[in-house]
Amino acid sequence: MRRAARAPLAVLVALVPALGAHAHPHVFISSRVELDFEESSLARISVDWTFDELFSQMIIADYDRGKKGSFTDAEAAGLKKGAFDNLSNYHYFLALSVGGKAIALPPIRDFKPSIRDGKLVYSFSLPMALAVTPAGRELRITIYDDTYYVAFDKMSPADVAIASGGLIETDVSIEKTKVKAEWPGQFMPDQIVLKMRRK
Amino acid sequence: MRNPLMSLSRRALIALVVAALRVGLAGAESPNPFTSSGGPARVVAPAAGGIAVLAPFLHSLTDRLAELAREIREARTPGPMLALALASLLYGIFHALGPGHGKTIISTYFLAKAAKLRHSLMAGYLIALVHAVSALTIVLALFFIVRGVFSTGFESASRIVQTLSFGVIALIGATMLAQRIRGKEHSHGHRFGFRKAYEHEHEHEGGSGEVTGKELFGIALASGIVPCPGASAIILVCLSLNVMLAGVVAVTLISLGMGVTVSVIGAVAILVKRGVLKASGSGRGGSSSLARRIVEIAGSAVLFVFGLVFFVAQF
Repeated sequence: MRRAARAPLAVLVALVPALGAHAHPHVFISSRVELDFEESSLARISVDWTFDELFSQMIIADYDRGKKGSFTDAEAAGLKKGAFDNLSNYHYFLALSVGGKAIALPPIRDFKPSIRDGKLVYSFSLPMALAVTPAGRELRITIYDDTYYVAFDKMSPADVAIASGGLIETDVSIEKTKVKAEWPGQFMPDQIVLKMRRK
Repeated sequence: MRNPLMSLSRRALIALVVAALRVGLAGAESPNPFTSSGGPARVVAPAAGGIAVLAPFLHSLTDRLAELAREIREARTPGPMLALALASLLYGIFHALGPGHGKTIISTYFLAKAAKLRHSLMAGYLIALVHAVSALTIVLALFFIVRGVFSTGFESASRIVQTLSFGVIALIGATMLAQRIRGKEHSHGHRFGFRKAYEHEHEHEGGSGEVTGKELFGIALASGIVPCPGASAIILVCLSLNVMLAGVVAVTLISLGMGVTVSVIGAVAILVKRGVLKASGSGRGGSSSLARRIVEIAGSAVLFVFGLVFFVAQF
């Protein structure tokens, strides 16, 4: 190929992966997770999402009629339909794996929107039935939006609460994990790594 | 003879340029997962790692915009309004680094045409103007006329505008591609020698080769018309707090910030094209115009394909 053609072609070909609906965060969420054990089994994962003030104000303006600072049951139901249920198309931004193998996401329960210090908060839970043996089990929870319209704040072990009734020994750490490794420049969301062992 | 393209500094330069253009060549706006209906856009790639680093800063900035709107409502002193103007400008600049906001369109347009640096300034200004008017119109129409749930209404309106925008871009790209392939400008390479050929080429490059104000406005219209969700949210918040002036200030400054980023990205595209054409052997008459033709045809092709792919993906 003629030398003249090589440079522009190389530049243009290299740019092809840059095209696409790259995402870019418009909504920011701070996550808190609680793990509830019953006897020696993980019974529930409760998730709490606190939104940035701009998205909060917009949703509150839409659903908190009369600016009471809270949602009535009817308003909460409307909000669930208009500003939550569509997450089923995004796997609710959650990915679970046990012992290194991905597990299906349980149905979302107990969705409740609220307003805390002027910010919008979504609370919901995932019913689980994960028996914990003395040999131990490892659960990994990744919270991420791979379209990156929503950016989740960096997590620390302090964002994970354990209610184990003393029967379970737990160890919580946060690791970075790769998402969609085949794309160049993939981002690496936080992953909660929970090691559990029945005492 | 050693190929200058293989030298380390050349490679480093190309890598740097590719990185810069990667910021420029981004794609469409993704839908809001909460308030839109349906799944992710069909052509999606995760963000470049760079954006993740900015996330905490963007989070604070986003919070700050809403806080300032509330402060302005409480105490109508100039302080919060000035802070809002600054925060909005920063928000516009940083958000335009993300996808959408017309950068792909501008970059490929400048690759496909013989553009001067001042055209990138014009482009930035025009996109800012179109965006501010579009965002205000759409938000005001949704708030006062449609009056439904704003957040879902906005996603639907945005989707419609985006689809139209891609259709127009595909058409512009197709027209430019056809012109490039037919080859409106001619090279006089060997007959006049380098300097004369360069000057002569410029003289004859009128019509389809050059950027015209009308064409630039069309491009700015097609790309600036899609409203930024953040800009629209702040207008909405200001409307619901009854501080309309703050909303206008915010959206104007956000749009100006976007214009700044688009101008810079456009300027990079123009400079890259110049650099690449020089690197591929300027002064050799025939070769340089082949390189130019390749860049311009590729630029128009990318614009056309980009518009077409995203247009089709909306359905």
